[in-house]
Amino acid sequence: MVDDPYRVLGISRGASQDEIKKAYRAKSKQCHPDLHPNDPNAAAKMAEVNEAYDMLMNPAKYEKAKAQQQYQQQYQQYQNPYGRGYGQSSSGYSQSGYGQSYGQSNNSGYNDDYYGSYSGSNGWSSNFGWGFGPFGFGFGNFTDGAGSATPPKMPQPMATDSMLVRNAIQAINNRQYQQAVNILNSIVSSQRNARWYYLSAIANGYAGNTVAAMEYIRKAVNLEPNNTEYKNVLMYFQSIAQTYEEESTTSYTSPLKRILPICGSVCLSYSLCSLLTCGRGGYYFCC
Amino acid sequence: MFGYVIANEIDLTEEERSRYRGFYCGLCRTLGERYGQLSRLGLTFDLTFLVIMLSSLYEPEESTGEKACPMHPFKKSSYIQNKFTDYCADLTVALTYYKCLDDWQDEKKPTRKVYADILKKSFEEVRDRRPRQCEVIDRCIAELSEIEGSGGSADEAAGCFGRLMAELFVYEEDFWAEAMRAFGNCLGQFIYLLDAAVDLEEDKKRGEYNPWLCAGTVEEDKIVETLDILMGKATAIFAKLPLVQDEHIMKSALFAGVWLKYAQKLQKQNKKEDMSDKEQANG
Repeated sequence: MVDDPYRVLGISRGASQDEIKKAYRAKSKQCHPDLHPNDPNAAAKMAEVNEAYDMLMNPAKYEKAKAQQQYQQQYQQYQNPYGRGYGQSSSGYSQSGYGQSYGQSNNSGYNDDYYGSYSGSNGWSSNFGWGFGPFGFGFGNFTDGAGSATPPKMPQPMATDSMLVRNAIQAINNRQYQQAVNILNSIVSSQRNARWYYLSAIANGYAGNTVAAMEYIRKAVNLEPNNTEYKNVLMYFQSIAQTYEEESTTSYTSPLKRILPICGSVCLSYSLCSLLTCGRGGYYFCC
Repeated sequence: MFGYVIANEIDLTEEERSRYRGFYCGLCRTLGERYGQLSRLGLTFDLTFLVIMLSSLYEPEESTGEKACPMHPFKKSSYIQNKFTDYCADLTVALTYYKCLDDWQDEKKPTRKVYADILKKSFEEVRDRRPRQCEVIDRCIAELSEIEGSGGSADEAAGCFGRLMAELFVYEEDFWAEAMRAFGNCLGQFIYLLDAAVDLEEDKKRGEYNPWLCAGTVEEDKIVETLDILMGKATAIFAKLPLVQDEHIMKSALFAGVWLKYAQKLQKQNKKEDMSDKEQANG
């Protein structure tokens, strides 16, 4: 793991996202392997730059790796009371001013298994994807796309829940979202109450089924308008739409003029596209 | 199903517009150069967007020029070409070929068969060069036909098209592949469902498959809200990529341009309703 992404990119702490991107581009131009065909370290240098960028843009992904690394180091310390040499880099346990997020560098082979997938050279770890999950929340990183809205609580079983419902709730809590969807879908329609819709909305949302998730949470709220948890889930899902719409209307001329916040009515203004179209099944000519 | 990811030219500066058209013309030119005049029929804005996005991500060398083209015989247009116009020209041929075959199977339109035959040789070249993408296009088009034919759910259908787009957005399996796949997937789902929203009334009348009808989401505001979520996801991924070159052009497409066709459709609908209201009032 890169120990100081700011140094690698040549920027100061507190750099904005735009500055981070520009710094990446500058470094990329400098170290791209194509520009240094005779340098055997070029690929590794580029990988380091990529990883530094990733650490700054997706910090949550590295929180877990850092926690794993700390755990591993504590474990090794315990195992090896005589020497603190194992599992340490030559720079030691410096609690340097890099902040907590980036862990410590480690030159021994020990911790590679833990975060081998973070070596960076093979790309973004698929364990955490983009810390982004299918619905924009997943894996504990609830901020992508959702602004500052409060993420929904994970559902807990109630006394009145059937066995199937309990199994579905457990599957959701174990992040087996498709399984949860399947279990819920096996419940007959006569037993599909507001709670069923609420649970299905969450399961489908995390499984990546956006249309179903929205349809179901709207139904749940309709059936039980006073249920705050259902409303919270709906508002959380909607927050992604709202963040998008806001940028759409403030920074750009959206052809759909919207009324914010979403209140159920859409009024229109059609802005001309100056590239001519011949509307032939989606294919265009400049004519 | 294509032609949605268009830049919103109203939001662009003169220079940006010129660059945008330059990419479009560059893609058109590459198609003509490599695959002949007829291949240009498959030219889409969506793949132009992909050229711009990949060019922004990798910043390859560009070659530019100015030339009168058959479409604009009296005016010289400037064009931009790079390794991604090559890539997207290949994808254009593959998509057109597979779509023609699919249409021929479904609707038996003879023009499709003829066009597919014309493209076949070009397509075979493309398949050798881009086997991964071609395989996924082939599979997803077939799967999608099946899902639509058997009344599959909206998310199944959208997800299938999402997987198709996802693969196109991955130029090679490198550090960015996962992010590009995720982005392509969200954008693909959005495009599929937006296209279905445009066709909703027609499909209802004709009893054709429509994912929104399957889902029971038929009110305009609910459709738009769901589509907003998909674009919200896509743009959140986009925001994390190191895209500096032509960023404003791409964002104008993602935040505004993608709605142009849908807005057009809604306006037409409102006009029709106004007219029939007037007729009722007068008659």
